[in-house]
Amino acid sequence: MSAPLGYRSSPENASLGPVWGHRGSLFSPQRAAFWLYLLLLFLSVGYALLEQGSFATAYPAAWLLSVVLMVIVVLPVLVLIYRLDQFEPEPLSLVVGAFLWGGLIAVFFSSVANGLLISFLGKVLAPGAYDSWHPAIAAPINEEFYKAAGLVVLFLIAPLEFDSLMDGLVYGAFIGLGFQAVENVQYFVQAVDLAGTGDQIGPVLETFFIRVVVGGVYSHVLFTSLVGIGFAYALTRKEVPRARRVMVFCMLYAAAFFAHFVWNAPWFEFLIKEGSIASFVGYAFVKGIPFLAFLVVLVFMARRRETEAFCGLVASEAGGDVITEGEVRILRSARRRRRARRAVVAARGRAAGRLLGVLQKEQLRLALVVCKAQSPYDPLVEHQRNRIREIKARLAGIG
Amino acid sequence: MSEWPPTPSPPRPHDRSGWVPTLALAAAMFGWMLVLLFVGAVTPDINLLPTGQPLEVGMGVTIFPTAGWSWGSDPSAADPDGVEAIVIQKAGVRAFFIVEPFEGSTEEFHRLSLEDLGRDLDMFEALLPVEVAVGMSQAGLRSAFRGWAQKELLEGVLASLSYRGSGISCLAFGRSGQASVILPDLEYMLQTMRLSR
Repeated sequence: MSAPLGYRSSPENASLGPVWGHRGSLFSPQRAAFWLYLLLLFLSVGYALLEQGSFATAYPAAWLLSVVLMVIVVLPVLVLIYRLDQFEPEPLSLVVGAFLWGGLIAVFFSSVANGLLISFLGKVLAPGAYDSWHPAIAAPINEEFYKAAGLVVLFLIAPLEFDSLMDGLVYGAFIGLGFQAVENVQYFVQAVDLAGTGDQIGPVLETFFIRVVVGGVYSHVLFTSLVGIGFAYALTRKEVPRARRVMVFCMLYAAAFFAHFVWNAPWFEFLIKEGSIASFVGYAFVKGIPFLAFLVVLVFMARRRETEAFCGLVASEAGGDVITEGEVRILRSARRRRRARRAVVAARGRAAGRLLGVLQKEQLRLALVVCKAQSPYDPLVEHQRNRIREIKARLAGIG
Repeated sequence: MSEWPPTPSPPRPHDRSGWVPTLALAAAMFGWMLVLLFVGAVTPDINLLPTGQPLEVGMGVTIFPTAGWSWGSDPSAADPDGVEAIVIQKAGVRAFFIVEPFEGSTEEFHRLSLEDLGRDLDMFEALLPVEVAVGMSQAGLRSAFRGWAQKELLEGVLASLSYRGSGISCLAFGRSGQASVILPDLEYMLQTMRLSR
């Protein structure tokens, strides 16, 4: 008997899309990459403690403000990125691992490699060219490489967690965010040091405005998300010839490299000669927006593919008592799900709204269970159906 | 946030430990740093100035750089109205050697040079000038100074000499604490400076 759409045993489902439902973890001692991760983390934590310790000793108030500002900014961005993958959220240990890779391991390796490459560039470039171009050459080469290495390590630790473009995007964005957060603290404290006026918070706030408020969205999260999507494409789109997958990865890696290069290059500096807030915003916009727009298009495409995969997975269930066609339409979009919850809250109260949220979560989870199961008669699927029926019955009893 | 506290992934039937790709990745990460280290070590510095070899500033003024100095850059060093200058750098300090037409005393030239510098730096302050030997037998003036440029505190020294219709100055600056390190080099280069006859 051929299994209906959505079940892995069905031969026509070989290229259905993501293989959802596996729960990988960073803590996988049976994987060699886990031990490499631990070793590198150990090295990098030592470096980070020394560096942050020197900042905290030299400029305690400025350092503390830098850390607090970054925590305030990073937390909501973490949640936002985590929620991008709405149908199959990634294991928390792996996303935390990605963040730590970016903030500790990639920063440490990049810092050493940047020092070496900058020293080399100082020997081979004329002084004027060196001053103008060394940040644009050294940073993309080393930083994109060491951040991308994090994607490879995470894949080697939990290969089954990389099953869609969205996964690559999420892990890439987490690595980029970790890197950006730690690098920003370095820049904030450096600005205080350069000002030479002691432990003042003014340079921290000025640098925060330029690097986070004006240029924050055009930085490492953007670059590494591009690499992550390319990496996931190469790994997951098995129906596409290997040469094309490799080419797409190389193109997106090159796009990340070029975006970083353009951001650091001394182009369009005439725009900030004026020094006004508007000129800084314009400068960042001109340099960053083409790449950000490109990433937004990719995210849109990845989400659409995830939505299609979700619909394919629950197709055999749709129309029954577990999940109606109308519910599938709502579940496809986070906005529609929110709107439905608000409508229920307005009509039947908060408790009903909360319960609808639980119901939606379990209906989304049904896709994961279906993906993992071999047939519609799998006990796990039946268990999940019953759970949904039970919540629906409770919901019907409210209001 | 569905997975906390973390649980180890169960081993899968075909799950190999992946030592080969892991070692390859580790080799790439450390190997790249070694490549950079090696390439940096074997590449000659095209900007490094030969120690003790004469370096023409202009208008017959020549300096003899000490060890470790290389060409520096600053577009503002070149000026159309007869000013000739070179920029060299070492350990984060840039030194400008400038020669320009000037009729007047060394004191006057030094004062004017300090005033120019004060216009370029915020919160500028300079110590009283002290005498410094220039070109073997001439007495120039030298002042230490500090000031802020683009939110960066700079410290340095300015040495000046008026000599036979030329104003010769050496302006060296770097971030706080850097300039003092190369002061002996500067004093030696001023002392051994060859002046036009």
